[in-house]
Amino acid sequence: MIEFISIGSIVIDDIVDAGGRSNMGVLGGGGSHAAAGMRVWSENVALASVIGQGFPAQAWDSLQTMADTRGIVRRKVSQPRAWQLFEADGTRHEVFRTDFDTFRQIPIRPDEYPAELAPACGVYLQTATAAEAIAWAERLRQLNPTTVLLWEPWEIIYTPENLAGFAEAAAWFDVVSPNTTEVSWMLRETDSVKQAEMLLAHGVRCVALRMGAAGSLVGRRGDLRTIPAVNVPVVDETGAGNSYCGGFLVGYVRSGGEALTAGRYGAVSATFALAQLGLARLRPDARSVAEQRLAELSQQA
Amino acid sequence: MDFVTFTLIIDDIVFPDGQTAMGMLGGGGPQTAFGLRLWADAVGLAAGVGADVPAEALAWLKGMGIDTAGLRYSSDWPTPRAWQVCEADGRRTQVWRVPGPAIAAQLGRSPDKLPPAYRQAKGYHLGVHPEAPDLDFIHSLKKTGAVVSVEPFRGPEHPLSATELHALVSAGDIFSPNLAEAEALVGPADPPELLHRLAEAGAGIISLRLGAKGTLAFRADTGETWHIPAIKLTVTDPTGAGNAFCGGFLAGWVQTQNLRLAGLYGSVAASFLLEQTGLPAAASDFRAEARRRLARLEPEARRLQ
Repeated sequence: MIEFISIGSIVIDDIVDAGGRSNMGVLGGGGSHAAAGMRVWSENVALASVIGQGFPAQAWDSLQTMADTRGIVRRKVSQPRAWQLFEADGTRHEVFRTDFDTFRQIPIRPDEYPAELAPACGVYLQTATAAEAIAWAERLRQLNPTTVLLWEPWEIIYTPENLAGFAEAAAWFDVVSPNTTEVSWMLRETDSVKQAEMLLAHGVRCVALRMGAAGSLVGRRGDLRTIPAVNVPVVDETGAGNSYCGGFLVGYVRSGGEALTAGRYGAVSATFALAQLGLARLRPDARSVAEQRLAELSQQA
Repeated sequence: MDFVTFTLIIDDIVFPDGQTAMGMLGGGGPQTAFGLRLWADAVGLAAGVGADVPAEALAWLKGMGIDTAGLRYSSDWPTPRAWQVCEADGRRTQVWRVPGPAIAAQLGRSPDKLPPAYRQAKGYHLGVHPEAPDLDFIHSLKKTGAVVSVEPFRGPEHPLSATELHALVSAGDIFSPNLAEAEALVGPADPPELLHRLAEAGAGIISLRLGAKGTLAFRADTGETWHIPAIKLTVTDPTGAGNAFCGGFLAGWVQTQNLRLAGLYGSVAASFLLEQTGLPAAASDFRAEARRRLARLEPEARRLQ
């Protein structure tokens, strides 16, 4: 039975490292990375998303190995695909190979979501607008009133004009997870603690504010905690934030809604994304490595 | 020094299937220098580089007999370097791999950055951004009495005013856009009309590059117009052919004052760039082959007006 569901984008990445070595047709996109973050902790993960024509066979294999694919919808458009060009210092340049606007116009819709996935305990949702987030939350709540819902707004949402819509959507979710840079565009505030307090004042029930190497700031009104990032060699930051969200959701469900525990799960999930170019491919011992990192992180508190 | 051209960028080329060609000489300067060198002995490349400029790049310039006294080594900045990401439909995206200040410092041109011998040249060729065409520098080159040839790097990012357009196309003696650049500057039209519009805007000598369809060469003072075909061959990669054309055209015009020959020199120069990815390997006897191609192409040039 499916425990956790990721609803978000699937992009095919063509990765080129600083020396010119390429790795083509790699599964990527926020939805994939979030599912990978869940997969660190659970075998029972599903991905609900859209794929297009020309989807590479190797990426489809990766997808099926990682997640249940009953929620994958095929559209008659070119599969969204992007170059990911890396520099030696980890800087990444993304160059879309297919039309970016088409990509934005084709996300999976709530009416395409299979009802058989509804019993899941937790759902991660990535959307490009607040209106889509609300439509999804209505549908998911109607199917299963007790599912934990985590929303990761896409970066284009974070404009000052969108604040009211953001707040309206945020109230529908158990957890909202922005990153500190993106949310500063909307709040015109760069201090993370102030950002978290403002988000909570704007209807966010539980915040998981991601701060990159500085860790994350999680919790509810009057109870914010900082969780350090786990110190691992960073190969590729791509997807670390999505992966954190996937892990956070698992930790949140398993602990009965403890933000601190959830944040630690998230921080550990992120380490697997950081350690590899492209999507985290989990080794057989990944679960025990994750448990160990979780234990170490808990002792640091 | 008889001819001088500008700009060196190290290109890391990414092909649609993920193959890469790293550390290639790019930026247009080396390609134009190649086109000049087919027809002229004393050709110099003036450009800002860092200590990291690849040895293979310097070896190619040396092997081609292109003067490198114009390379300015910076201790503060790396050599300009960029990803060139290619798609099967011809789209090409440039992504800089060096910081913005390095690009500005290394690509900046001024007369006092040129070695004295370079200030005596008979001809200069440079690429410019159409909305910021480095007019002071072009005017300083013209003041030396040399022939100046100008090529836009790309179409303008916003429509140019009549004043801006005039300043751009009349800045040098020769203006050489390709079809897309010309249409972006003066609006879509058939090639003879494009020549007319560019001349109206103030261009003197125009070479309008039409890819596989060849080139239209035009003089506004006499109305003389030639169609110079492209040399027929299997195209491996067209990158840099336009830059090489401009070098050949400039050499031909300065040496002969003959519009037809200038176009032929340009077309022959371009043909060498089409046959491989990047520049042709140095050291082979290009001059003799260029003469053979010139002889084959010459009967195909057609006077239109």
